[in-house]
Amino acid sequence: MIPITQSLRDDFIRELGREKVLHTKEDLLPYRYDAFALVKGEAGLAVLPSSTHDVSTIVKICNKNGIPFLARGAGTSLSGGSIPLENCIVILFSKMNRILEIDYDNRTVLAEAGATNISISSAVADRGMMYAPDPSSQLVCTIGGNIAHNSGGLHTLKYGVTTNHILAAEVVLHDGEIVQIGSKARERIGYDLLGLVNGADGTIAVVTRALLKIIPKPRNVKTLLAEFGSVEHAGDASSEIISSGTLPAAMELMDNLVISAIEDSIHAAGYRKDVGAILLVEVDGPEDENELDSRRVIEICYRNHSTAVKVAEDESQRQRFWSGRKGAFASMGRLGTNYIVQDGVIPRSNIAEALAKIGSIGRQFNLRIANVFHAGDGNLHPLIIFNEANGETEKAIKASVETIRICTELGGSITGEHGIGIEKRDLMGLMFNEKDLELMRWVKEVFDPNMLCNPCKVIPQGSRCLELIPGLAIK
Amino acid sequence: MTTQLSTGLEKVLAEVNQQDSNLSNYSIDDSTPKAVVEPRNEGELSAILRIADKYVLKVIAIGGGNDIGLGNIPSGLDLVVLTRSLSKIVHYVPEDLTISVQCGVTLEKAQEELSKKRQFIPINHAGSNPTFGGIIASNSNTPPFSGYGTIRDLLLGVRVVNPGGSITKAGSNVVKNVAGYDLSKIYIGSLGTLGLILEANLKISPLPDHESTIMIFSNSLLDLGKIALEVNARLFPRAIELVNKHLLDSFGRNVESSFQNFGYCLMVMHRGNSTSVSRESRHIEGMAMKYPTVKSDSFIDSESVHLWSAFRSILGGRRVIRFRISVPPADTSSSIIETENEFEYFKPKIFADPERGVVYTSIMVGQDSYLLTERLKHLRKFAEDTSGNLVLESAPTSIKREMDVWGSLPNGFEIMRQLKEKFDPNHVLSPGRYVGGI
Repeated sequence: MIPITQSLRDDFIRELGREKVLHTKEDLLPYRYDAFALVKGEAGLAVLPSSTHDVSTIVKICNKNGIPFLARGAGTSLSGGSIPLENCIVILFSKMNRILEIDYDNRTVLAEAGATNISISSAVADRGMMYAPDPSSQLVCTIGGNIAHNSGGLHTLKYGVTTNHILAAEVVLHDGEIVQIGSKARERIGYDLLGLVNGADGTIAVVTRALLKIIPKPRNVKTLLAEFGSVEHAGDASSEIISSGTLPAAMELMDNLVISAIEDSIHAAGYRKDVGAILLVEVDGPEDENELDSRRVIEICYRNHSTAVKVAEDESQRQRFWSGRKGAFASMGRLGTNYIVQDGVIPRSNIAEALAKIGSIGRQFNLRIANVFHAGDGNLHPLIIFNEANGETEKAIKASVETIRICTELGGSITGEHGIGIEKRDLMGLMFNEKDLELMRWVKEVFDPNMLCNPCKVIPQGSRCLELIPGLAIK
Repeated sequence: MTTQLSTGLEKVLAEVNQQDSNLSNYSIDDSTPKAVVEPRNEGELSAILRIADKYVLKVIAIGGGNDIGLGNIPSGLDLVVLTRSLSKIVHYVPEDLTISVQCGVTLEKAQEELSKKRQFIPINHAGSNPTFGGIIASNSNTPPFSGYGTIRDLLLGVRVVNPGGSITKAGSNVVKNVAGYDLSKIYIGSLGTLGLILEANLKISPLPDHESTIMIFSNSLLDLGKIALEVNARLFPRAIELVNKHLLDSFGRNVESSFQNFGYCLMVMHRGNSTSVSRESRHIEGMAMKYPTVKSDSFIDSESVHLWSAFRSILGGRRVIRFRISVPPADTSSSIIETENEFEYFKPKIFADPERGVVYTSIMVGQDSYLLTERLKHLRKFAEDTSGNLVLESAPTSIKREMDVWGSLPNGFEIMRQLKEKFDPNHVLSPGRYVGGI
């Protein structure tokens, strides 16, 4: 780890100006963390570029001095993707948050990487358009962060994730070179570098601008809330909905623990606390197709032992249905002092089986595990509740790894949308063998030969990057 | 060198029998391979690439062979590997709406299997027996293009045989996955220059009950462009294509003769239940009626299916030069006009997806290829000036000698070149055919 010397700090100040360089302990404190609570990092400096040129300058200084760097958006990464390791220089994007161009003819928005996700949809809402990816953190999370994690959201069942909605990115490479990958033309030539940058957890380049696709906002939306006696029945219903040929815009499942936590919190949405699970389904096609689809969904829910299905009668009821789901993670404080949220994905036909297995993991470790997840995608979010003060951390980590193992045993993935970051770096072996990982290392070496760009994330890297979370490595 | 080469080939042929002694059948851009092999399983394919890498044999894989015209002239060719015997559907659980196929599975075989469960894969191809390996490696998809997304949107993961013979996987078999770098993306359209796709995992869709296609005819490309814009802004068509007169002529009896005199046609396809399909069709016809010079005709269910199948059959053919222009969508109409102006002499058949700004042209060329290369270069400049590109998808070798198939080097080319060096350091796979001579 190279220390940040006075002379290096002066280099940054000289190039950027004093107001763009943060260096006191107090100034750097907020950047030690992100939404992944188990690890704290240490920022060498934090810098506030206001242009791509500034970012390039920063990266050039880092490259010249062998100092690692990290681009940080809103710090909402749930996998530790934005936690600075190795005394990183943290590049903050709060001054680069502008929307630079809206082009309705080509249906694109050009935004700086620090623009929030919601600002894109808000900017085009009056023309009946939207930016489709809608992660739960969309009020604060940034486009740069979305690209790093290839973010999805509640409605990506139908609309896809970030990689399906980005046309071009301006990136700064390891040596400070600025490259624009892609354009408003939809077909690119050459290897799909944009496809690699997406979801790379910011480890191969720094994204400074993105050209995003916007699409027409659906005009007709129907939202249904189905109650079930058990989470397995709700899981079966969601699998059957997918296989029936209906493609909802969103389909979310919450179990009783989550429902109770929500109802006991400020996010209370009027859910019944005595039900085993709730399935929220939204369809948004043409009106008569919505009618048919919602009739089919209701029929499937009742066939799978739903005790009641409610249809939102107006927009305010729809918003109420969703408000509980959106506040689910934030309500977890009602269940315990700490929680780990996992993000594995399973084939959609296995939901009930996976949920039953997760239930038995909870019993095995004597921990409560709540479930709230994207049922339509098979993207599970088991929330392992524990109390750090009671020494339960290691046990909780082990239980969380077991939930991930179930996903890979069922042929799924260790992460659907939260990314690998720090959290799952040492779990990559559950999904990939050494040779698979070697190809990923080649990509990293080509883009970042000096290993300075968001170091020690994504790929297990041997001795330089130590075990960050005791107990997490695969046993 | 010659001895080493033949030793290598002998070793390959000891593992896998030579498929066909008439090697000229497998010539690519006038290069004839020294052997043609057809591995029967992944072990054989792996062995071939292991030996090829060791003895630096230049290898090109062929699936259905439909898109073999894409790419620059190979800088060497020792061995053609036919993938058609790797034709197993590896995994298919209808409830998951995903399928895993070996590279040699044909699109037709997969669609047939999926249709039993009222599902399908939203990829089309004009050629005969196109395989998934070929479709992905050449990123080729023919109309109707769709609101279902491109191959990039449908591919979830791959297993790949690397130069040297190792087999690796990238991506996954589930619809959402951000575990590690999304390597499956870089194999799409890469002409097999990084590795040979052994298996592909793809998203599939439920087969809708009904479909309809509205054909809107006009002499005004401007009017049709406006209608297309309105359709895209207000509806979710499954396909939208603009076609020009010369392509329209080829539809023959599929299109009423009175409509064939129009200069252009916009084809809009919808899928869904019977009510929504007929309502959307009426909606579009209503939009079209606002333009007095416009006429329309509708095709329902089997008529619509037949129409698109006729469309695809027009696109092939011998002695054809095909090229694809990609521009910002708002430049679609001007690209069509530019293409017509440049190639009027050759009666170009043009179709375009105005939603994506992609314009496809095919022309027949006989002895008389009057200033063809110059015209292509002019058109390429036009496309590149809009931030787009022009790719020659199929052309005689004589034209490829005069111009690069891919055009100007894309941004980030140096990274692409280095990726090739890492993945295929001996340059055995499809050498010289890709962007910048990769």
